[in-house]
This record gives sequence, C-alpha cells and structure tokens, in this order.
Amino acid sequence: MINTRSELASRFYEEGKLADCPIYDFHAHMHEFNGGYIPRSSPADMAAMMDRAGTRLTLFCSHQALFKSTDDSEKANMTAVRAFPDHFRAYHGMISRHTDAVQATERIEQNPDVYVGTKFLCDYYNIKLSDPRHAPMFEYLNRKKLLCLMHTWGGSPYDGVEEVGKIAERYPDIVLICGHSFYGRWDDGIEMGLRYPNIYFELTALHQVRGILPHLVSRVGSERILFGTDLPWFSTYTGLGAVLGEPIDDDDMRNILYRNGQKILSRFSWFQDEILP
Amino acid sequence: MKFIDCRLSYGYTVNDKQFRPCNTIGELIQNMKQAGLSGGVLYNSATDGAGVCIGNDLLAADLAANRDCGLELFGMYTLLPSFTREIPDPQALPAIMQAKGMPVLRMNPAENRFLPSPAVLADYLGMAEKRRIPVLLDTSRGLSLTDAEAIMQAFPKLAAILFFNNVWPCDRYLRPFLGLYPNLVLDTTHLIQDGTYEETYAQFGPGRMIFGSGFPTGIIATNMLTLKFSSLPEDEKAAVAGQTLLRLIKEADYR
Repeated sequence: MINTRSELASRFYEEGKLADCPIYDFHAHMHEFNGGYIPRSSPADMAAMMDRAGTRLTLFCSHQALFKSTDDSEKANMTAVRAFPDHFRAYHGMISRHTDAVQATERIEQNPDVYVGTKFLCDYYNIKLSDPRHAPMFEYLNRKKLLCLMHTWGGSPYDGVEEVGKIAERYPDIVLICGHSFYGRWDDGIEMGLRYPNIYFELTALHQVRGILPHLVSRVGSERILFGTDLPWFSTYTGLGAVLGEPIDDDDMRNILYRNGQKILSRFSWFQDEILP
Repeated sequence: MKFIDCRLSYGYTVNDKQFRPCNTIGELIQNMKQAGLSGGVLYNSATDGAGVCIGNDLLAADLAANRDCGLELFGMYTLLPSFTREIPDPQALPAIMQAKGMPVLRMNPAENRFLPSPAVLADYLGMAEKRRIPVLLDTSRGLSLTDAEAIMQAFPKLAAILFFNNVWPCDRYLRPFLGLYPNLVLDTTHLIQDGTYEETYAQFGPGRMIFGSGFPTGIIATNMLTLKFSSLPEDEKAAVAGQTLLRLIKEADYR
C-alpha cells in the first residue's frame, strides 16, 4: 500500500510510526482559526497526533501569535511550549503592523527554551518581507543563526520569490525555511534555492500537487527539503502519505522526515535527540 | 483494506495545469497498482479538451481493453445539457452507461461551457436521482459550491459525490451538505484535518465519506495512512476505503 516500491512506505503503512524514522515537523500552527473549524487544534490534541505518527518535535506558531487580538499575542506560544516541552518549540510571530521587532528579539533571547526563531506571514499582512520594520528581526536572526519560517507563495509581491531573494542575499546565516516552497512558481523558487544555500524548501500544501516533491529532489536535492504539515490544518498523516506516495528513494524520504531536521536543530543546546543514520 | 479511488483521470493535456500529467490508461493503471489500489472511478480528460463525446468513447474503449488488468475499473460518463442533443437522452443513457462500464456521471461546466443549473440539467439529474445513479459534483471543474447546493436543493435525494476543491478546513461548508442531503457523500481528498473523519462519522453516521485522490493532480496515497490509523470502527474504515462507493454503484438502477 501507498508505494509498493518503498520499504519505508510499506513499514509506515503496517505500523503507523517507526522508531528508526522519527518525524520533525517544521511548519505548524495551533488553536482556533477564523477561517475554518479545526477539530483538534489544542496543544494536547496536536501532541496526541504527533505521538500517533511518531513526530518527535513540531515547530509551530499559534494563530493567536499571527492574528493579533490582545496585547500579549505570544502568550499562546509560550504557554503551549512550556506545557509540552518534549513536543513543541515555537516561532515568534512577526505581525508586521503590530509586533515591535526589537522587543520580539528580546523575547526570543530571554526564552531560548521556547523559541527557535520567527514566523513571517507577509502575504496576509500585505507588507513585504523586505520592509524596513522587519530589519531588526532579520539582523538578530542572522547574528544568532536562528530559523525563520516564511509563508512563501510564488507570485506574491509580499513573500514571493523576489522578496525571499532579497532576504537570502542580505542575511546568509539565517536558516530560511520557505513554507509552501514558493507555491506555484516552482522553478523560480528552485533557482533561488540554488543561488542561496541557506534556503530550505518546506512541504506544506505540496501534497496537493503531485510531482513537485520529486522535482525538488532532483533539482536541489533532498538535503534542502524540510517536512512540514501546517498541523492542525492538515493531519500529519496527510503530509506523511504525500511524501511516502511519491517516487523518491527511501534515503531521500529519511532526509526529509528527520535527517535534515536533526542537523538544523543540533544548533540548539536543548536538542539532545539521538542522531539517527 | 481495499482502497477504491472515487476520482481519477488520465489523458493528454495541452496546457500546464497538471504538473505531472498521466497520458494513458496504462500509465494510470501502473500508478494505481503502485499505490496499492484495488480499483477506481476514472474519466478520460479528452472530455475537457478534444470533446465530450470523444472523451466518453475513448474511455469506454479503454475500459473494455483493460477489463482484465487486475483492478476494478469504473468509468465516469461526462454529461452535457440535453438541449444540444450531443449525448444520449436521459431515458437511453442508463443502459448505455451500464453497457460501457461507466456507472458514475460527471460534468465540467467550465471547459464544456454550459450553465450547471438545476433547470438546465433537470432531465438528467432527475433521472439520476430517481435511479440513484451516482453523480460527481466536482468544484474543480467549473461547478461552484453554490451551484452544487442549488443542484442538491432541487434534487435532494441525489446520490451525489461532492468534491470541494479547497484544502482549508471546510467543515463549515460541507457539514450542511451531509446534514441536509441524505444520499450525498464526501470525497475525502481534502478532508485532511486530524479528527475530521471521526467527527463526521460521529455526527452523520456511517457511509458518508469515500476515498478519493484526484490523481494525477493529487497523490493517490496521501490519505491512506489517515484512514488506516484513524479511530473509526474497522467496518467504517473499509466503507470509506471502498465499500461505500461500491454500494452506491450497486444500488443504482441502470435498466
């Protein structure tokens, strides 16, 4: 089932999760969302999904930290991580019109057990990634060599190919995780990734476009691809099924599901997971 | 668990709408077997390009030629409004569908350029409702959800398979369809939030979801793990995987 040419896929189908193939999810959210009912969006529900699928760690940014409703939009992130420190780490939300970038860097600095970096959602805020108000955050992330997850939609004037290119050019030490892999402008995004080695391609939403993942693997290599699900928007099993169901080698699948993630997370002192072959 | 995919297609494309097309039924069968499917419901996308009649005929020929491929293959017959008299009339169509191995109806109002209104399609949809012939309502093919709702309002007992082409959480849109129309089922391609299967089953009972992928645009295997490792009862998992779809086809009257 799933992929008769893949031993890994067959084993996942039989067992549901594999000790020798953990999952690191680099793109998730949490809590209620305005645009749709999500059955299981609490930290506890998400942790349960992770346990069923063998997800070792999920990096998320709560909807509450991305859509401002109170003065303390980061509370949801911090509370969830501290309640489930073995399951989650957070991206600090960068709500362009409201988040003070300098204060945000201070919060990240003061809470290294919570934050791995920052999440940008510029397409929703109609403000470009390269907007000067974001500069203090990018400078900080670059100095500290932290992670930056960006929603990247290929043709967007706010977070599409060209805008990401500007950030990659100026800040070569940030791990730039391009959420949705420049959706729709695949080859332009690949060119950008070939130009800038700190660009990583993240897989959320690519499950609906058959053939993109093998294309990415053949052009940029599976070492530059990170697994992500948008959990709780999409089930972990949906994202996993989409990887296992594509014609790529088991070795490439392992790179995507955990090896690349472990390499990136090794920069954090709290990351003590056994590094698997 | 026998997986039977309710929404597959193949055929040559002339644009770039599909990142990785599937040109022939042979290629489709190979992909189906590789994904571990036991069967599927398919159409030839020539109906969206060269013409509906050509596409229907090509599909019928391909189904006949591949009867012994080892998979249960069912075809989708593509509809047009009766006013231009291009396809068999509603009285003759069911027997033709059965003879050709094409038990499901579909339509593409966008490419085939007609209004998918209940009035325009009344004769075919009325026939389908009466005979419980499954009709795919596919919002990726020029049918809006509003159009689908209008059709269901007019034909509330239609054995409809609803595919909503939207990956965002869509229960607010889709649960009303399940609640209001007892013979409508949902294609699970984009029912991809954790917990959706379980809550749908708890609220609406068995037999309201059927496995689909939309290959070659979608990846067949995407939702196999979701279903297998859900907490649905085992008989409902089997129902979603393929049994409900087979029941829909078996219960229809094509005489």
